[in-house]
Amino acid sequence: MTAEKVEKQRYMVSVYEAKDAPGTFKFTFVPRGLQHERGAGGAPKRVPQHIVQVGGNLENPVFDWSGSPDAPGPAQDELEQIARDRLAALGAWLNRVGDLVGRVEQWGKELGWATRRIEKRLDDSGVGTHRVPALLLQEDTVRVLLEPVSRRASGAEGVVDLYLMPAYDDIASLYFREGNWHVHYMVPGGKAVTTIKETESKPLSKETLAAILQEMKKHGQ
Amino acid sequence: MANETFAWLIRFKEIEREYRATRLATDHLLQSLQTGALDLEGDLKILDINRASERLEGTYIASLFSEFERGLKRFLRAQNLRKIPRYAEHLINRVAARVGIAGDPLQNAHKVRRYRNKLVHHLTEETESFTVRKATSHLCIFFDRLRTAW
Repeated sequence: MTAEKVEKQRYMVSVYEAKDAPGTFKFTFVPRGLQHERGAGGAPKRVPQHIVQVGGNLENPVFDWSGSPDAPGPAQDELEQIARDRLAALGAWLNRVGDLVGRVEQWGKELGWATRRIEKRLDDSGVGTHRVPALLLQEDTVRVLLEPVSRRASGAEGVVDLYLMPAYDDIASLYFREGNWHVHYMVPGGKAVTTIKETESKPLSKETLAAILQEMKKHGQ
Repeated sequence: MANETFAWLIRFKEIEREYRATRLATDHLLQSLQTGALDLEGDLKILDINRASERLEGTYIASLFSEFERGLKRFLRAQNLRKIPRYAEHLINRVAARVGIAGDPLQNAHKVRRYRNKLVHHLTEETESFTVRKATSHLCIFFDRLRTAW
């Protein structure tokens, strides 16, 4: 069982990046199991809420509890560790996606495609809403979008999709497994499958990308 | 592609993804009920689940189109237009005239609008039907043209 699952049993955790202070995250912790407790006279007890603002950087966060409605008390270390773990997971995801976008950008340019980075907001209940880079590749009238979709998926530590624009047609999905990105690509006219994940998987390489983009040019023009 | 246009395109695709996730969950639920692997609780009947499943596509097409309309209105406001058309037909035409969209992208946006109207207002008129995928595709192709101005 992952640390994220264990902590979920004790606290409901919500997290978001402050709009006015990028890089600053607000964590709210609500203990589970206290919602239905009633005090004397039958009135529901107010559920404690511990809020911490986390600044600094992802590797070395700084915690500020001054705005918390309820002091964390003895749970402070535990809650700060939860926040640290979540931010570490976010940092790992951002590195993974940043590295992927950088590699595809480089390969795209080498293959003669124009590239452009775009910022995307991604909602994630585990690490909060955050910004990730997406990448547009264009050659003549064919445009392809590399778009991060999820930090977590069944059997994978990240999913990034490849779409043919502007119709937003699904071309391929990239899954991060065992330390590498793997491409699932739906070959036009290939074996019928229900989902793109059922298609044949290949490790991501410049050659794999070149083959997909070449196929897109054939079908997208 | 301008970031504002791009943000709306992403939103349209997210609605399509939500639909696909809900479709998957509903299909699994129906299958579990049919095989007896799951029992319904309370007043819920299998008929209710069937009805929700049958209406799922229409529900998401209405949601998708509503977001599309919101995006068009936001675009016109950003262009400092004083009067924003209330009705979808006029809204689409106003944006098309402003950006210079004609032909298939315009016609297909209207076809999706007519299909949405039929679903929402329970009209009996003959209209072309669309899957959520196809509707997303048509609306994205139209909206993508805004990137030259937004």
